[in-house]
Amino acid sequence: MLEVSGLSARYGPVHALRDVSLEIRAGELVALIGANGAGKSTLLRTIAGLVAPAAGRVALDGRDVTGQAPEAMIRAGVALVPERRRVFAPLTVLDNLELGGYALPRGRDFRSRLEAGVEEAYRLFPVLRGRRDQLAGTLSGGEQQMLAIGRALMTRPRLLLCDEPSLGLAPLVVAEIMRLLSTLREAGTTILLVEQNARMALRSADRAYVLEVGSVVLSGLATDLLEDDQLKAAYLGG
Amino acid sequence: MVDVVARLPGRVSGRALLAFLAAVAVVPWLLPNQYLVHVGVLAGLYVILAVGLNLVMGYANQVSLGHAGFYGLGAYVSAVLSVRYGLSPWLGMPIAAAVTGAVAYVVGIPTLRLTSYYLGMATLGIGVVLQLAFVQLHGITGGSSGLAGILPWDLGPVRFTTSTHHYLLVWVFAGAALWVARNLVNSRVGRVLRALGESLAAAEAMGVDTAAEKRRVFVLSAVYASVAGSLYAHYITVISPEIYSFLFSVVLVLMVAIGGIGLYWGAVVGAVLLTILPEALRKFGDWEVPLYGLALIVVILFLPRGIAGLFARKGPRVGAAGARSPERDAPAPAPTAPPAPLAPSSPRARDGGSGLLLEVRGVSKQFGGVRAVRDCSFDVAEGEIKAVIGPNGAGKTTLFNVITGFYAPTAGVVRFRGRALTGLPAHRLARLGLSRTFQNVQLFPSLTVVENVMIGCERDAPGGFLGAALALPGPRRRMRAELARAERALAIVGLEALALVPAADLAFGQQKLVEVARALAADPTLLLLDEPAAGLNTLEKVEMMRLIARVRAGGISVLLIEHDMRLVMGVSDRVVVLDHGEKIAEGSPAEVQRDPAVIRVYLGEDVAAVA
Repeated sequence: MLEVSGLSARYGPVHALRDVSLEIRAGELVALIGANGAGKSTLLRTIAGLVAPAAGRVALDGRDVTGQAPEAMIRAGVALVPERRRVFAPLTVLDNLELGGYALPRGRDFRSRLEAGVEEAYRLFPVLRGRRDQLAGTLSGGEQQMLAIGRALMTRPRLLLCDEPSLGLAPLVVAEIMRLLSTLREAGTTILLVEQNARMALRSADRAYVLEVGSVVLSGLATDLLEDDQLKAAYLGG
Repeated sequence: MVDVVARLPGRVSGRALLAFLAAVAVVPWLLPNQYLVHVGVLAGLYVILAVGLNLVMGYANQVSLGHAGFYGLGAYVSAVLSVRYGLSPWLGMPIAAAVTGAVAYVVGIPTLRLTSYYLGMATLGIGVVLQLAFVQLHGITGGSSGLAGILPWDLGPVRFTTSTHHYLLVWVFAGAALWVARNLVNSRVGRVLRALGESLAAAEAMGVDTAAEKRRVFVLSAVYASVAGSLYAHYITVISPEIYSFLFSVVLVLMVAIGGIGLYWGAVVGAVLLTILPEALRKFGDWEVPLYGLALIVVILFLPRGIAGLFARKGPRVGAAGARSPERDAPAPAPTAPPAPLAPSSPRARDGGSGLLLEVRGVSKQFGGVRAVRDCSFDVAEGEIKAVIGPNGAGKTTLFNVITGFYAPTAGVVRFRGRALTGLPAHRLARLGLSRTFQNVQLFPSLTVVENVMIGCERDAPGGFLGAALALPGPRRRMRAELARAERALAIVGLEALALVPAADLAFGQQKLVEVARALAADPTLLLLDEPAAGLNTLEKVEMMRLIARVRAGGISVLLIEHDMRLVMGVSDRVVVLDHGEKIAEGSPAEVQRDPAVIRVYLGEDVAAVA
């Protein structure tokens, strides 16, 4: 479904991508792990169209989408749940969700699609329904993360890019978010997940790529990687 | 080490300044007529004004739309003294500068609390009031018809008669203004101003008295404007109130913006350009004003960082591979031989008592109808590592903000070494030895990593404005010492290779480590860490645990908020659990993990079993 080949990006002087290639098949949950500054977020942002690549190619279903604008990528079915959630703090929960649907086609059924999307988000995250008129900035960290995911799902993406959804969340909430991602995957959404908690990510993922200083150094089935000695030493903490 | 000081970005070369002033000095003899020399006089005056304004707007990020008023005040005070009392400009100018500085100080106390547009409106008001005063106090100022018969400049027996005389006089002052501004920009003052312009909260947390720093630079720029005003009044010898208008304040802001806001040479380029441009466009007659407007629009559209921005380095150049290579083989960049903790033998050496360091007593914090923290009490003993855990939204960060002076508690009291902290501003607490990091990272994004950490040293070194302005050796020595200390702190978190990279270009987890280094550079007694492991991977979290243990071994007590249970349980002596703002449990890690209430609201069965 997604094919990234030879991708390089310069994004500030420090964390860039160098000749990264990976592929994600429809219906997979693929984890992307690696140290701080390895370029994981940059890779997600480049796929989402937020960072212009210096070289390489991004293809979606065989169609070249390299360097497309972020809004074009959303219309193509790729949505990003950004690192640190980035909800619109001074807007209500409902406003946040509706803004997630901004890129929906403005046809006659725009309104009804929007409402259906909001309803779907409430179904996935019942707690958001009760808080629909609350300002997003006043939500707890876990609720903000749910809102960020709900917002990304408004355009019914086929590929969801999740940048560290567990960041700063209580253990119970982390477990809940991970369960939810598995549910979404079972419902047919393809997911590329960046996660610092490599063990947890590998437990839910089908396959994984390991990024180091901007390059892919290891990839394989999640179950194999969990047993990989090199990886154990470097990321899984023994 | 000397080299690294010179490599800090944004430093202004003294040689470049001398070369510029030398070139300026010969200009009058190259110009074909005295009228153009007169334009050169105006350019010098505007350079003084714009350079002062740039310190306030470009570095400290505080808008001022009232500088025309200070320019006018400088002109009127020395003009009135000259006309009514026959006082020499050489006496009138410093008196005017003192008066203007005092006015700026007083109006700065309330207005500089404001930010962005509101500060713009308040300063606009100051400018308007001053201009009205020039018109309305006609008994003294001559009202709208102005004031004539102002004594011209002289130097002993030499009367300044030609424009060239005045050109040299004005540019001597402009040179002095540029020199002082350069010294400030290159010193800790420049760094502190840029820092507080980017995050007031972080600057306060590191012990910077942001209100005082803002006021000082505001007063200095008002004095610059006043000096320019006096120079002008005794040059033209006739002044009237209409030129000290809001419009002129806007032109000054434009000079700074067109030249390149926050860039030292930007204000110079902008001031000279906007002085020359109307003259150059004069031959277009009626088209002058539209062309002037068009030129401004083009510059703002295509050069958002101003004209000087074309030549400014974006940041230090980092070799494509060089900067990253140290990490290549070791994903967790921590040094194998950990450097010693910072200065455990400093003069502030902990007294080593095993008594109470921090006492939180019955603290509540209410926001409107929401009670974020309710009647919360606990202690941190000397040398203890204490963790605060609890669900998202339980009030942990609010509690941190109360302890560090960012919020005043609705009820209760926090004591540090027996002293009640209530009512003290955050920077005072920082100077007492409380140093914190922020959950959402509050770095100064455009400052380099090492400069960010150097702000941590501010706790020890408040003030020094005059010493910095005059480039005295003391402040320079201190800067070297601060740099060395910052580099040591960076080495402790393993980020020394990224010292010269702007903080904004780091990954989130690296930014969190820079915050820890910044807090450590303060050599605190109590270190407060808000989610230090967020954004770190498993191995980096282990490194963080070691780091926290090492910090404690150096005699620093630690209070931390964290969701990573392996870290919390592995490193803490005791754990406090909050839920809905209330303390529901406190005890050793083992006790807390067994507590059914904690398992139910926070840990969940899985984690409790694993940990």
